[in-house]
Amino acid sequence: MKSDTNLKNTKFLAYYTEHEPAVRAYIRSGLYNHHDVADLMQKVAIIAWNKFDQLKDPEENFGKWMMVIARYEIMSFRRKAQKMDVPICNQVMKKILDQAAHEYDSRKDLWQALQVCTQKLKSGERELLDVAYNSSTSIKDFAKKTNKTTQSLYQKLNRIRTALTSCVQLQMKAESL
Amino acid sequence: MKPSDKKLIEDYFAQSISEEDISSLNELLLNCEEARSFYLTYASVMENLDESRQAHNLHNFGQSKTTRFPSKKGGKCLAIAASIIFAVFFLNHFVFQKTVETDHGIAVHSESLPKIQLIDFFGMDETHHLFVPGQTQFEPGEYKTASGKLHLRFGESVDVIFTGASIFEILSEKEIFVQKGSIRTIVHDERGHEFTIRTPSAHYIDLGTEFCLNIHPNSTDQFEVDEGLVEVKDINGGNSFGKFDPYHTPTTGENTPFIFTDLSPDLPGRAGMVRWKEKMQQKSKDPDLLGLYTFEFPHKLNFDPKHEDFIAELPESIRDDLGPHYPSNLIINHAETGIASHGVFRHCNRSYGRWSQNKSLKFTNQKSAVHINLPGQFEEFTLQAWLQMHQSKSSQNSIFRSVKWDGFGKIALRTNRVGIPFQSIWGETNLRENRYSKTRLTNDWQLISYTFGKENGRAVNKIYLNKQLVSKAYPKFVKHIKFEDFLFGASINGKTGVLNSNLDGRVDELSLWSKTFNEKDIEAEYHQGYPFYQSFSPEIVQK
Repeated sequence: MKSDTNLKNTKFLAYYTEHEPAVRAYIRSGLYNHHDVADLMQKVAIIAWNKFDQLKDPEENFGKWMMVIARYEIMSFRRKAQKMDVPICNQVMKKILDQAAHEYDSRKDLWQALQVCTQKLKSGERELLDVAYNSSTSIKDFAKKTNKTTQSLYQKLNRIRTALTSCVQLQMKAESL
Repeated sequence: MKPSDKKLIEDYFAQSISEEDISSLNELLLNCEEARSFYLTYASVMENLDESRQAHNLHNFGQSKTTRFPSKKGGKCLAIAASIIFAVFFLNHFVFQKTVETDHGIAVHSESLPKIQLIDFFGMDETHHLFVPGQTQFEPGEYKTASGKLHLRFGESVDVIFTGASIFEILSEKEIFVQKGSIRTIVHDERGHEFTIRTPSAHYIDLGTEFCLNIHPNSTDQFEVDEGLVEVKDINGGNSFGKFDPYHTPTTGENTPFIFTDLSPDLPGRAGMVRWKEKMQQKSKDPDLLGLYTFEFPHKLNFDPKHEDFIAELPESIRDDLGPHYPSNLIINHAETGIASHGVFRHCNRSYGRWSQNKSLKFTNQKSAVHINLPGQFEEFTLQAWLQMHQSKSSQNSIFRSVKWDGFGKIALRTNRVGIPFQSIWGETNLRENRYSKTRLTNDWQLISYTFGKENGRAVNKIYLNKQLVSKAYPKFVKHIKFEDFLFGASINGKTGVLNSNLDGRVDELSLWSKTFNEKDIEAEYHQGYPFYQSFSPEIVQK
């Protein structure tokens, strides 16, 4: 009995670890506030764990099955969050989530393309990205240090993300050819 | 893809998208597959970058040097998954056991007469004028709706909302037979456990909280579980096809009488919203209406609020008050007479309103106010607003007041700390208010009406809450009401000399009239505007 549980744990961990980044990105696409992503991801993971025994052929279906769970949780979250601002309407959100599910396999390893694109950034841009995501220095301190306004750095960061997105799309397209 | 389209998506993820651009973004994402693809990639990039930050923080905590993109198959995921397994173990062994015990304790089987209450509908014709939301009871029997929406509550615990044409039979407080229709079912508490919808193909038994069905004669049922668990049995109620939760992978089961589909019948409150919009359109044409303000985002306007001609037409005092957030802080006067100006607000947020998906204005601090210009003077006048008050922090809370407190006709309405409204009239130092009710403003949506007119040749001011007269006063000197500029909400910034007098709450729909509303007018307005969670326009025919 104990060994059955251990086997389930091991299998679940293996599949979860493989698919977690893509499912997390899927959840991010469905929520406006990024602070809600971690909460929803945790909820999805708990549901997946509880229902893991019912899943047939997890090798083939685990990622897409997690997305089905995530989709319901996103729509449920949106229903409850109606009183708050939900800028993207339900009709559009359903289209986005449908497309995400359709493109799941091609996006699963997107982080590899992101690594390639990050290396293509100019050194100043990489430095800013490091400050924003990979350092204990705040943007405010960095702005002071470089004699720039905080606002201008945030705008630059936005432009970098957009450039990275364009690059990642091209990279993924090239890889699929 | 145009750079401007990418900018919209960039702004959205930076949470700096303007209200005007929201509709453009929705339109873009609806119609352009390439834009959706870019949106999805952007979301993935953001999440990967964010995750690298979280990983950095974790590593810092553990005093270990990080790399920019830690392996996706690294220890962090394992740690999260392990913690989830622990959480699940905890939930299964403690919380779940408690729930099971509670289930046994709460089960109630009412043996009283079926109680099926009309919660809402929209667009009823003359034959249904006796239907009163919140009051009318439905008896067991067959019903048909030709169109629209109907919201019923079974046994005070199950809401069933029909959308569009439907044919159904109420069998009991816990069972209906639906031949045709699009239905959302919401079970509110344990009393609704095992509420059953029978169709020509199957029995759907609610073991949880919310599910949707589309039933078409001679066609397979369409089925969606939103929350909880639903058991499906054959038409005899015998063999079970299984119990289904929201995560069951959509499939077209060969032996099942239904298919899983993404359904979206109307949510509670939607009918009220539709009815309210129709009412607003009718109201805006009334020749006695001076101003009618709602608080939706102004991005669907058919004019350019930044255009210099539009701004030039605003009264000077309003132009001076546009502020840096203009035109996001613009509120439009929908009255066709256009006598009152458009308004601007400051230190307010758009928030949830009375209906599903409509907006109110939330007054957040002591500077929160709406500024409106109303030229002229009025021998008859009514101001109405739907208010939802929060905890009063000040001893006096301003509801509205003329900016300049400088002559006969200027009025102010305030509440005291416990929410009882009272008025002030310039020059009437000995004004005595007769109190008729102890009703006060609370955190429920309430209609406040302030009227000025004549009674037996004497000027009279009255305050109503919902449909009840709260107070009445006979001013000695005032013959007409005169506002010029007035503030709804805070009356500070030295403009009126009343400090710390703010409105702590929400306003949803504000109207100004050049006529005196009587009790009947106010009662009608209250019944049409109170959110019972009423549904929409069925032509209901009892066979």
